[in-house]
Amino acid sequence: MSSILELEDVTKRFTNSSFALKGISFSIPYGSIVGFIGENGAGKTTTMGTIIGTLKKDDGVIRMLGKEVDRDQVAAKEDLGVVFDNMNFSKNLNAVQLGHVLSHIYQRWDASQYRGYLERFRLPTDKNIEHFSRGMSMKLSLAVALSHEAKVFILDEATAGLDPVGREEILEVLLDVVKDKDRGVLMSSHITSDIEKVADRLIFIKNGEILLNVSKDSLVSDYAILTCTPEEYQSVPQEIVAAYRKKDDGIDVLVTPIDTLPATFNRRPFSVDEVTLLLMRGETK
Amino acid sequence: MRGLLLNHYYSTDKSIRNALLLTVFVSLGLHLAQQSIALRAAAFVPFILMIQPAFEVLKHDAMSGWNKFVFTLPLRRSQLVRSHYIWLLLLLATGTLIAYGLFFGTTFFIDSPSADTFYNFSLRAIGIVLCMGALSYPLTFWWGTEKSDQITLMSVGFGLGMFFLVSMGLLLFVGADAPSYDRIFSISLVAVSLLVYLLSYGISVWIYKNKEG
Repeated sequence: MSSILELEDVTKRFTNSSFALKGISFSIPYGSIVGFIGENGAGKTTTMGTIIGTLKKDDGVIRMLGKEVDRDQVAAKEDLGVVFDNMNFSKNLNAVQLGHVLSHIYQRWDASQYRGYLERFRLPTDKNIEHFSRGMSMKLSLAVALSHEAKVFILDEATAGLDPVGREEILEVLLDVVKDKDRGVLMSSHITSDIEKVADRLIFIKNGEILLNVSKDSLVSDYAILTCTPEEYQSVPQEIVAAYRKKDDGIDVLVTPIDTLPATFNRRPFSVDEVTLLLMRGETK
Repeated sequence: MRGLLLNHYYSTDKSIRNALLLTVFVSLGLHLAQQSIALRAAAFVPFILMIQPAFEVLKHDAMSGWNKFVFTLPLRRSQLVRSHYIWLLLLLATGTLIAYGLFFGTTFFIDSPSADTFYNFSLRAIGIVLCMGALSYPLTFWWGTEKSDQITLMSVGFGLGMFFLVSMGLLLFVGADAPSYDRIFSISLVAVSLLVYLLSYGISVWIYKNKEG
């Protein structure tokens, strides 16, 4: 059993929308942070919703820790740590009261660990959480997710709207989470630099379909972005073109594998952000 | 379940305190008036005021997003629904304690116009409040708290409607001149309301099971 979370052909349709998840399949290895990248409405939150149980999948299989789960399985949710893009706790509570509430809900709630995270994140314990800043709110959400011995962490835009210090603090915690190789993280973020820093695998999604599922190492070593003229593009072997994007000043082309790329083409350094733009705004092959 | 009830309590503890104070203040005034009409009102007021936090919780949950987060918790959806239904019953029990506490407290010092009137009207208030909850919960789970004003009006209408429906049923089958008609009517209303409340719980669970966050 090498994957802590697996999705197999998961589909989800909506009655009032043409958007649908079209057979989403991927897995999160133990000890891995997987970055889930896509523009708004691409299907990231919907996919996460089917995993955490806020949405009902139409078809497909979701396995967590090797066991098939559906949204009404209570036991599986003990293993799930969730951080939404907004804090979703009742606003009139303070952090201590929230801890009391959750200690009666999670069987494996660890009060001392929760207190430890409140201290580590410098969160006030006597202040109503409605007065928390966005950074404090997200840290509180993370503290909750980390305090009940969860194995699978789902973070939907958890770093959005945070200052660089706050973001780095959260990313450090995530790296700490997976260091013992017994947990896994799926995180979506529009800030691809955050994902680039911590993720070891990247999944790009567009219009409810996965366009690319690749390890970060492989993206660096096996892929390249070329900027070429329309004439030069014609000479690029089409079997190595993964995606291309026409621009005013030429065509950006994502190619793989690169060992068959003719030497006449210049490879240039690229970021995950550029790959994202190329996949989201361009055409895939 | 305890965690959910605790969350309901923490979310509305200030409102509960305010409702308690207001209930005691208003009810005491009504009892001291020593009028039959005031005593009837004193039998109603604690229940109407004390159940407000039950409906307020639904708004807090929707505004904070807690009603979405709970789906990620290791809880059955029926438990989520049950916590709301039990929360209303707990508030109703608190209202009952206050209503009867004040009634017995004041009758110890001053004469009450009629104990029977108080008992009957407090039972009727319980019946109406249960019916209000029985309609409010499924409609809120279905339509959302955005339509809370309409839902409140409909639930008040439903509570009064049930009141008259049970009254008409008893007039037909028992007759107004039956001995202890008032007592029979009050107990019947509570019994029917409890059944409606139970039925409503079943409907709410069904709605919640099909709900997506």
